[in-house]
Amino acid sequence: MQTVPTIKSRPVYSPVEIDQAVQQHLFIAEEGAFPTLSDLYQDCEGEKSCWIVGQESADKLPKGCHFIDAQSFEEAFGELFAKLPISSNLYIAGIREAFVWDIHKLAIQAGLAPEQIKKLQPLSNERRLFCTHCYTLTEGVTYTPFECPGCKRLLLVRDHFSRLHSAYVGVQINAEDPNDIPPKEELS
Amino acid sequence: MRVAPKPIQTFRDDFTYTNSDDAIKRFPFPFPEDEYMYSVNIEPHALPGPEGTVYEHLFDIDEHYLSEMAERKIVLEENPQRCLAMPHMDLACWDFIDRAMTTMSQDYPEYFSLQKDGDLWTWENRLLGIHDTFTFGDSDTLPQPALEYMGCQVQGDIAILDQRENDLFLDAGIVTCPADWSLAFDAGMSFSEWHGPVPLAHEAGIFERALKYLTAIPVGRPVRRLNWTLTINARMDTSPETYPNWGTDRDSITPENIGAKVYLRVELQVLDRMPRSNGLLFSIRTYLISMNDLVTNPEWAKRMHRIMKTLPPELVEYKGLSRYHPMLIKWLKQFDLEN
Repeated sequence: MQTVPTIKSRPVYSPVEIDQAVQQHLFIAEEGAFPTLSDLYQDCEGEKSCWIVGQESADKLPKGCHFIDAQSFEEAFGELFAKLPISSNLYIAGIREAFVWDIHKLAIQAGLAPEQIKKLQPLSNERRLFCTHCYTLTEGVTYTPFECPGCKRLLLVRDHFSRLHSAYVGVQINAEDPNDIPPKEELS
Repeated sequence: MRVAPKPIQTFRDDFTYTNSDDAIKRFPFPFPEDEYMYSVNIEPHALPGPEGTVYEHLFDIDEHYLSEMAERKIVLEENPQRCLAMPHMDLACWDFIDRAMTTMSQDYPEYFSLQKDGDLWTWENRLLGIHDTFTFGDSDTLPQPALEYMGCQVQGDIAILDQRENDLFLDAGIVTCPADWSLAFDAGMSFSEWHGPVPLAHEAGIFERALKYLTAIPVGRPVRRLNWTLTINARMDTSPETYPNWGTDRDSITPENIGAKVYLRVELQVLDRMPRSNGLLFSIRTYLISMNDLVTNPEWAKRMHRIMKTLPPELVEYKGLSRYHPMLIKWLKQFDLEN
């Protein structure tokens, strides 16, 4: 159960249902995240297709499902989204929250409306971190404070989230007093 | 009489910034009551406002003009990403150029002039020695990107908000003197997202009401509000980007230096509808006054004490005052003995 975040930019993921009135349904999952979509996929009676970003995994995947690697999905999805009929929904499942929002951004850029993009709660607590001092982006951050690999500063990982960067912001934790370093904490 | 821009003073390193008596007199003291709490404190910005006040003109040009423009240049040289405009904001940037050049040349004809020959415009800024002829709307005819060009000629930060889906998006800006927010990170955010970190106000429904009000602003009917915080030293660039440079300042306050080092930082925020793009121009004009200068006005001194004494702990924390807040109350008490 997700608690209501105190910082309002942090995404909240509402339960997702299939709208059978919609003409075309596109399911996109990061490698390993398809199981969260499989019930929805099965319930969906309309025209549907499924894309996995990554390799084939141990997950049970639908027949005819497409695979694409992380390096080329941007271009491929850009083209795919632009060709969707107006009555289309997109379902996104990710291990990482950054994956979900990277796809979301591509869809918005291709002209989809926010309400057409259904996002499932990401499966891990891994965050992409934006260092506010040197602008370095770091993947897979799971605890705070975290040392920025770009500028080596110790960053407090905040809950303030940017959909443009698919990232949370990090700000030096001990800028006021170098000795003031709180213990490491696992992120939610 | 209006105060003329004085020679360049600094907002960093040796901090030579000072306020003249006239600048102190016209300082926009932001507290109408003895207690401070968030409210939708937005009001019409009817122009021209009272003569000589910071509300007289859309863009207030004061004695710090040359200093602030020099400071902006330093910040942008250090980090060009403090100015950005998404491609769809080009027209809105030209709206800003039009609004700034038109009003500034009318309001301060001794400093600025604008001549139009159809789309061929000639702009002169005598304070900065700028004299350019360009084709309105054609960014290639300007010596710099449109937003940077004009933003480097007005005091205060500029954000330009795109309006769509009944919301406002932070899609362009030149932000070199922010009160601890990052344009590079907040770029593209909706109104509620970029205010995400602000405590208490979301729950009070402030942003919902403010957004309704702001999206309904018509052309030619700007509105304004004041916002405030405290800053150590006359530092304009209190951005998160440079926080490692100024964070320790907060730990440097003593009862002896508190009057000189603690500044009240007030933002005059003006929102103005842009006619071509339907964007909202959001100017954030920052004024700094040291506690020593502030207490030369006994009414302000008293009120400042009461405001500090009753400030909710969440705001003390959010505004970054925790390290010196108790000391400041103690120091201000001498001006408000009965309280």
